[in-house]
Amino acid sequence: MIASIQTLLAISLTVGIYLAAEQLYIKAGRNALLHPVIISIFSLMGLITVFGWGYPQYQNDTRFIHFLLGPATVALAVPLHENMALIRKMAVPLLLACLSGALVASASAVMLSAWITGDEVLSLSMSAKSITTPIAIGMADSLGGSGSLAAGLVLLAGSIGTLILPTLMRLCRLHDHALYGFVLGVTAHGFGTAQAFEKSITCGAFAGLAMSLTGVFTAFLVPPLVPFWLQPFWLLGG
Amino acid sequence: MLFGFFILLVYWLAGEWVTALIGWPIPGNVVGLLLLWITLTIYRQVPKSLVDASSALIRYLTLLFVPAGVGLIQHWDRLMSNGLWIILIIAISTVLAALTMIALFKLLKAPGA
Repeated sequence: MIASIQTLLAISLTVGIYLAAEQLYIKAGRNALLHPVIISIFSLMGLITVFGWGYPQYQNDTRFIHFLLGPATVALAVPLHENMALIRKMAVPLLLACLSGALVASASAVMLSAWITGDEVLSLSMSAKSITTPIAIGMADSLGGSGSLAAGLVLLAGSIGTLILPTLMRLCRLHDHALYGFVLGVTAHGFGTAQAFEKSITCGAFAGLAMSLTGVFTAFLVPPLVPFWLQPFWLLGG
Repeated sequence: MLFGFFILLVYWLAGEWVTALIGWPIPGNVVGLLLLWITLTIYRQVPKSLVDASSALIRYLTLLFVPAGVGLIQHWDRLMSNGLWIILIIAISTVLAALTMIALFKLLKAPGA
């Protein structure tokens, strides 16, 4: 026997619930609040509580699924490479906007959270809230925050972003599909990208590119800056 | 496809080596992503097996972070005591970031802004 029944049960439940949640999402007209990840996570939280497994047990049983996040994150290099051709005409404004958008999204969340909640683990995990989940989990963990908490914050940021950004862009009269998609990708990662693809292919492609660039920029630039953002609030040993 | 998966594993490994070497708190898989991106930019051609392996993994990317997401259960008290603040902070921060970008587009007169 190469895997215990408990392990097989945990993996089968995770995949099975995800597939069911995906069907529900399609039937419900792809409403962001019914995203398969959100439904799967909450159903599985309920199930492991009912079965009395505890998270460490479930985490250990599903580590094979979690492991695949490693190569899947590296794989993001392929669409990033293919989409880079899109920005040749206006590389400077797009790269500058991505860099500043990523820094503002991260710094404002860290500082507001440190000021209001005073919770160090929460504030550190907030630094990754606007980037794509696979990168956010690794980044929050290596910063001393929590990967799981970051995953939750990322899902929240995606849902909130897709709810408020369309109105904000209408108010600011940003109608160009490429720029619109780019803003959605930087601030609302995969959720924003999915919403952008409903507008047009161009909108979606720019959102996908923005999402990958923001993930890479944030993961490289934010970790050394976070201590400076937290210092005024006496966290991290102040 | 297996060759493509092998490439992804080797770049991940290289990324972990680099982060261990320089001691910078970046996840090794993101360094791997960057190294692969640089390689593809130089070679310009993406091997078909790499395209197949990446699209298979990316297609089910959301399933892959379900186990980590379930870990949110360990932060239940934190979410219950700060829930509304967390939503407000994320909303404000998202609006600030979007406004920064829109202002930059208008300032730099990006085509379409």
